[in-house]
Amino acid sequence: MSGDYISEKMDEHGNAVPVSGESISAVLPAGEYTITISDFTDYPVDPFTSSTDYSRFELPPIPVRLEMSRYTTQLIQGRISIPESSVTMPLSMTVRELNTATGKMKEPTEVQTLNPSNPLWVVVHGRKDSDAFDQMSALARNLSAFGVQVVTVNWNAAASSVGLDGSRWIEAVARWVSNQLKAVGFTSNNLQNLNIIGHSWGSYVAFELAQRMDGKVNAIVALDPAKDTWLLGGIYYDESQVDFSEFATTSYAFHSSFYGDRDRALTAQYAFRVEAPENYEESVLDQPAVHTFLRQHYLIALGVEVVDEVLLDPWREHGFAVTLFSSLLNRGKDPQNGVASLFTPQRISSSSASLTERSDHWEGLFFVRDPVKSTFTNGPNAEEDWWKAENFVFDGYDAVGNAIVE
Amino acid sequence: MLAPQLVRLRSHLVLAIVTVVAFAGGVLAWPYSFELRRVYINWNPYTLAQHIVNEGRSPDECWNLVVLDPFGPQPAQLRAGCVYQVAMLTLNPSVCELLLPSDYGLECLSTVGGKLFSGQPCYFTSRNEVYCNRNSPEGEFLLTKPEIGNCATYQRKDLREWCWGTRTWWLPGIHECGYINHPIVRYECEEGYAFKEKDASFCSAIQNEERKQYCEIRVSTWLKYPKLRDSSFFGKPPQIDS
Repeated sequence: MSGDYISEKMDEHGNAVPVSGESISAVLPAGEYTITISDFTDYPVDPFTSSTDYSRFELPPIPVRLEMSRYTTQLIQGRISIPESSVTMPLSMTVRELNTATGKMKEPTEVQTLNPSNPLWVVVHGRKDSDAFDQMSALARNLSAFGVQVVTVNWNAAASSVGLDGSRWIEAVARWVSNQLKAVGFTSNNLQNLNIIGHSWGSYVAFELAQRMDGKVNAIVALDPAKDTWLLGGIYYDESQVDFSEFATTSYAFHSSFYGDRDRALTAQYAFRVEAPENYEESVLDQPAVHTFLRQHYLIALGVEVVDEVLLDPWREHGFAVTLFSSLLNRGKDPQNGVASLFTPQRISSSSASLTERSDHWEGLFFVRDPVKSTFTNGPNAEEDWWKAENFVFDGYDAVGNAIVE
Repeated sequence: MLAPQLVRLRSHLVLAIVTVVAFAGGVLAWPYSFELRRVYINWNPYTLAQHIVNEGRSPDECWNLVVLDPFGPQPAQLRAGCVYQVAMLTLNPSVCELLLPSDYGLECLSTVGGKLFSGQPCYFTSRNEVYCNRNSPEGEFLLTKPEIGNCATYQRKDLREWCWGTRTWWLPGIHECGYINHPIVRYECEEGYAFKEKDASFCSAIQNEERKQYCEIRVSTWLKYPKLRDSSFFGKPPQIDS
């Protein structure tokens, strides 16, 4: 931090916000610092009060919290603020690395300092998710297996706000992460090493983050970028301005669900559709709907089908982009695996996708073959299952226009 | 005596009041009824994990998390995330067993293990190097071409201890933990030996209850779930000269 920092927090009328949380995170080089906090708020003073009354006017107590910790690039914790919120939100960036010899996850103190001269992949989760929950941690793990540096961003507290309110924080998260990456040393000279992968709202964090760097980042991978409907209060982030190819040398997007935004996915240089079979959870037929239909309860049958198509299927399929990409990474470790080898971190970083680029349509289709009902445990809670997309058939065209079907 | 119309009106009024009171009571009691059954509706998994730890409740209660909001991970993922967080907060490896035999359960175990055995000076990196971090009394150091044929060739004590530990982990018939002074490096050496021999009884050499328990669970998990044995969370022999 250098020079003066003046708060820009204002309400919709342009007035300073009197009660509002605000956070400033900064990396300070070693040295001596003096922090002076001045209050420039224009407090309302009644013009009819006497000068005596005015002298007794007391400033409201303004809580100020100062947190200082030794700076490491391996674990950076901070808080973010936005003008319209009276609270600040915690977030963090953590380097993920497995000790391959012992099989233990390394603590941040045991990992080498981030090196901007080597490729870095930043992983950003979506709404209500976390870098510690299964699908995102598996994604980070599969990336890390390629020997690249991997940093996960955890903004769970802000992303778990009520309704779709959490999208207010997307830009603040991106601003904070971009500041940290600049402090690590990612400048215009080495942005060819910076790659960002985001799921759902995390895709938009990736876009906003790329926009705030000093030039184009190397790659953005957007996994089912979210479609926030105004019907549910999704009015805080304007996703219509997102173009994934704008601030990245190469960009990939995977559109997998009704909760994803098809048009945003298509802005990527390489866009892929992930399609699941109908009624995979009930084998061939959607049994509850068919049973109610045969009993001539037509309205109930319609309701069951609507709930299935609009609520349950998209809920599962929104994560298919993540689990499918994880599966591609996992298979891509085998260089003989044709399609998966097109999606390794090295291949994406090299901007040589070997696929025909189509300006207005999908570059390929992943048809999910038999989504996997995965369980966490064999124990008393074995019914705790969730659906993953691991097996697929791919349909696309290589760089010279020959069909790839696998 | 009241007129019949008034009586009828009063009975309607009483009925209406009873209905409203019953309805209001139901609304007020709704959340408490779930609390009695320990059902947690739409809780954030981090908050729920902290609540479970603070109140000394069973991590099994994470499975009682009810998710009504479809815009996010599937419910089972959030419940499992809560279990994972309880394990991180308590550093209790047995909590991770609730997630086995999934990869996520192994990751939970691996992360708890990483925390329990942290504080060692030297580590093997993903680039086949050995990195001694800045917490090492002998200073930060990167060994780009490690070998474990003869540990005595290393001038630095932390590298010699790393070498004895690595030999014990991966070379058949070798147990050199007795040369190691650093307590955590020695415990990890003993853990590696127990895992190499696939015999949890060797974990008793670890004089720390949590680390010993981790060692036992790791061995028993490998024996119990053959399909997990290829996982990178069980470690792989480093590609270095021996």
